Amino acid sequence: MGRDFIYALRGLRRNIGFTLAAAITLALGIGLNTAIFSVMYGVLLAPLPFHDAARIVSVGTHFKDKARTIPRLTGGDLTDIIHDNRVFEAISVYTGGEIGVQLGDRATFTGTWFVRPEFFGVFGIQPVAGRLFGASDKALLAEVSEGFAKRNFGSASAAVNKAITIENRLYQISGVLPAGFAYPRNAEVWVASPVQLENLNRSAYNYAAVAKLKPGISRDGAQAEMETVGARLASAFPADNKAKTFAVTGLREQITGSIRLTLFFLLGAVTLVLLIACANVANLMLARAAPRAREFAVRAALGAARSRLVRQLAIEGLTLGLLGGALGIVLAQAGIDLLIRFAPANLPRANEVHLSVPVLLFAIAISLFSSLLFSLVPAWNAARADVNEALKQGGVRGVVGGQSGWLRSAVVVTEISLSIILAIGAGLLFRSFWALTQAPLGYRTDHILVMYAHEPANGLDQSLRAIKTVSDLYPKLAAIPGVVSVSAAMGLPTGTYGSNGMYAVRGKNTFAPGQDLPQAGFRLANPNYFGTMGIQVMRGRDFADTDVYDKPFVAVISESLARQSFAGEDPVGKQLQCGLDSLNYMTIVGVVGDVRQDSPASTPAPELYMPLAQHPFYANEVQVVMRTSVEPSALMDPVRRTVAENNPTMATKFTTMDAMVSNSIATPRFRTYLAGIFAGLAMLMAMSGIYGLMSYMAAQRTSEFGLRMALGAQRGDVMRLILRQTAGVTAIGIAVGLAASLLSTRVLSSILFGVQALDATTYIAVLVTILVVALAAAAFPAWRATRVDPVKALRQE
Amino acid sequence: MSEAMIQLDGVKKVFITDEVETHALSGIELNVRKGEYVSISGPSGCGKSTLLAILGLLDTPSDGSYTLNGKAASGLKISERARIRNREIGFIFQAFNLIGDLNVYENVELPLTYRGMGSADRKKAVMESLEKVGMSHRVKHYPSQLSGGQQQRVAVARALAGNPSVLLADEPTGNLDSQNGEAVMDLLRDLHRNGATICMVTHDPRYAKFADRTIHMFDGRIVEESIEAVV
Ligand SMILES: Nc1ncnc2c1ncn2[C@@H]1O[C@H](COP(=O)(O)OP(=O)(O)O)[C@@H](O)[C@H]1O
Ligand SMILES: [Mg+2]
Repeated sequence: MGRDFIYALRGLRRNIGFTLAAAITLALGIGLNTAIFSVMYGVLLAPLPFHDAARIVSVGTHFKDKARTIPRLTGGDLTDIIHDNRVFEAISVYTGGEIGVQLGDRATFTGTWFVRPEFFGVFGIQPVAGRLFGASDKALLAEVSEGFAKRNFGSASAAVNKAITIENRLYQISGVLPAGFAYPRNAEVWVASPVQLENLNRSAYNYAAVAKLKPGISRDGAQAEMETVGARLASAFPADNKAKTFAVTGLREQITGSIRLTLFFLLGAVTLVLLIACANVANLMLARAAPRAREFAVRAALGAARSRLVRQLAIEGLTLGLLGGALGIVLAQAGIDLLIRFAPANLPRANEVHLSVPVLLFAIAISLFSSLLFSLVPAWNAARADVNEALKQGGVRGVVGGQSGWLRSAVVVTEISLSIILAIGAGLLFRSFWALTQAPLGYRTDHILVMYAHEPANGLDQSLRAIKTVSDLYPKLAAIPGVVSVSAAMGLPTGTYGSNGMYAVRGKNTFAPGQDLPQAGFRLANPNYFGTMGIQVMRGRDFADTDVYDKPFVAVISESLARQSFAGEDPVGKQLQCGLDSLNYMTIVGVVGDVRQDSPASTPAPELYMPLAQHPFYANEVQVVMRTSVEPSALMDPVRRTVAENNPTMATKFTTMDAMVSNSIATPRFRTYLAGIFAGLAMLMAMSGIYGLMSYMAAQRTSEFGLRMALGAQRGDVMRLILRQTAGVTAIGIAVGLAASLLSTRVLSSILFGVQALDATTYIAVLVTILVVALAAAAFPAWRATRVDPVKALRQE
Repeated sequence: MSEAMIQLDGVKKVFITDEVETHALSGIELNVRKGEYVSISGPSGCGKSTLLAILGLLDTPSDGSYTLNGKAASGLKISERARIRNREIGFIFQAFNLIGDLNVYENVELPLTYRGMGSADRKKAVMESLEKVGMSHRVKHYPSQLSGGQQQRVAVARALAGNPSVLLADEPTGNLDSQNGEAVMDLLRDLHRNGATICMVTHDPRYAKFADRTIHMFDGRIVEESIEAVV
């Protein structure tokens, strides 16, 4: 066996061209798979880096009628779940996000989360300095991250007992949590939330919850318990809870759910690339084995066991596979770096992606699997070779023409069909992405500077004052050269804030039990928000400076909401109420155009716009939008300075509307680009496969071509022969690839936007492309065939 | 005297391989009249096949001139040479050189397909020439299903099908046993009697004597011409 390896290595070294071609092809396939798998492993499979991570779950609401789960709960439901808890060792609510934290004379946007002391128990986290706040603490306490402590106080221990201000309240830092712990999203500050949740209704999904299962309680067990609670609440509160229950989801699944499908899709794509690479190497091995067929035949005739020959091929394959695997791992390292660099910013756990031991094991496993795959064909070929036939070689006397080469053709057909599947997948993603970039959004994205602004406020008075502080800024911002108009909203399209819920139209429905209420997105805006954003006012009016807290409440609705609740009527003047804060009736004063809110992929949905000034509890954290006449990012500095001069306590963070929209489609962009690269690679490999096949075929047919030319065939005639043969092989590949694509691209349906999985344009474009690629690959062998010298080709040996 | 079909003046052929010059033909003068049957013999390597390749426009002389059927053959484009080969010349090779994937009919039809002949005309010409060689009952057979003699008869039929001006045969019996060899020779003689112009390379003096004229070559030159008494 060891000797066989040495022979194999020697053989590979002798055939350095073959070895390099095969090893590089394999390395590409294995490297890509390893890189994608490492992302998959780090994001989806590796345990979360928490103590007893498998027991950490998220509790959310499941809507039975819509078969949909959201990772949020209402205050009322959560309170009952905590009260009835029998399955969780610890459970904690958490709410928050990036808000302004004031430190001395500075204000910075910081991931700030309100949690219960149980939160730390869920994660089994211990402070590196100070202590964790507990249920008995009466003072306002906060934990901060090690990074936050070092940045602001120099060290972890120096931060303990220092003060930070959040929403005008002074918190004392009681402890510092270790570096690397940043849950929930980007958390740097954790402060104690009140025991009693603020909003105890059962219709506003404002709270998230994490919990740790008691030892011995399975996730299914906890789920069953949650359903029991759900059923009880459903009968106790049918109006709100009739159609809902609660869902226990592994925290890991909950964090990574959104990227899951994309990663599986990418893994599928690179698997196809690897299969194509294996096919290519199989054909290279067949080509290499061909001159040795005689040698093998002679040896077989002399009594060598077939199994020995097969073993020799298998060992060569294995050696080659491991060589390719080693190179592939090197490539994978580079690939991982690139993947992480270009991954969407919201890729969860990106920092946990690296060449870990499981990933290396995966690389070795697929190397071995590949060896098996590409050694199979030549080994089978060698094992079944007819000794007699091989010894005769050249077949029947007096006859020219190629061996049929059907085995190699079959391998190339496989390559072609696999690359068609990939190319059609990539084509569909591209068309879908293109549609995303072209979708009418309902607002303009260019020349809009966005400033996330957080003015600390606590209680109604401070909130009302914050509204004034923010709007007092507008004239100063508008005075900055390049700023055309200024307004603000809570709930910008593609932004991180938003709320939704049910509403009731006066005279049609009420918040009374048993009512099936319509849904809408809730957004708050200042006057001139619609104008600044280019959202069209279709009827009625925009909000006015006079729509303030102590004046009658008003609202503006989107066209979709008008269709949903006021078909055939004029909505202006009608009244409605919603569960955002108070159930005050609001009079509809205007109707505006529909907007694709979450991303260009979302369908325009009913939206209910309310004046910021009439909903002060949401008004101190807004997104200020500035229409500019110049490149908006150029105004970030002047705007930041103006704000700092006037309101040092206001935390600000800048972006542009263009960047926000671009970020909202980062995941589709990422997978589209990757799919494009993979499909391109697959095409190149298929191309080299076709080239190899056609060179072989042309070489086989050299004397036939010589004969045909002697008989008067023109060069074009000979060229056509090769191209026709290419077209034949390609046609079979296309037929198989089409059939497979029709069956398989359906899995893409759920991530396609504005294009059907059976999009004819994509199919046709791919088919034309593959035909062109195939003919281009065959062009050189075909050209070479026309250079055959008939005299030489026909010379008798 | 009937007109000249082939006229070679001072034809030389030099092969240069790896800096070695091989003078395969060194000044060949040859005239073949229309309807003449010339056999070419000589030791192996003396240049017979090279001469035939030049006559068949498969190769070009390094020096000298070649006139075929009144037209100068030098300076023709590759496509013109292919066209002339197709229309004026019928090749018969030692290794019968049929295409394995094509049946007898298709093999014979092959040269005709390169001149854009209609399929009815092709069929007529193919069947006529297969009848001449006595193979018309085997049109559907593949070469591998035929004996060597039958294959060569099919090859002759292919050479005839296009009604060429000249038949060029390079050791057409070289791969055949004597019985089959004689049958092919009889076939060529019959064709000659019906007016075909033939240049045939052969080692075998028995077959050489069927020709009107035998040319002996040695080391790239014609060293002797003997004219057979017309029987
Ligand atoms: N393509 C070629 N390149 C180099 N030498 C050649 C080539 N073709 C023929 N020759 C040489 O030219 C001489 C004549 O060859 P050929 O015409 O085949 O001889 P014959 O057919 O009489 O046996 C030989 O010495 C042969 O080696
Ligand atoms: Mg010869």
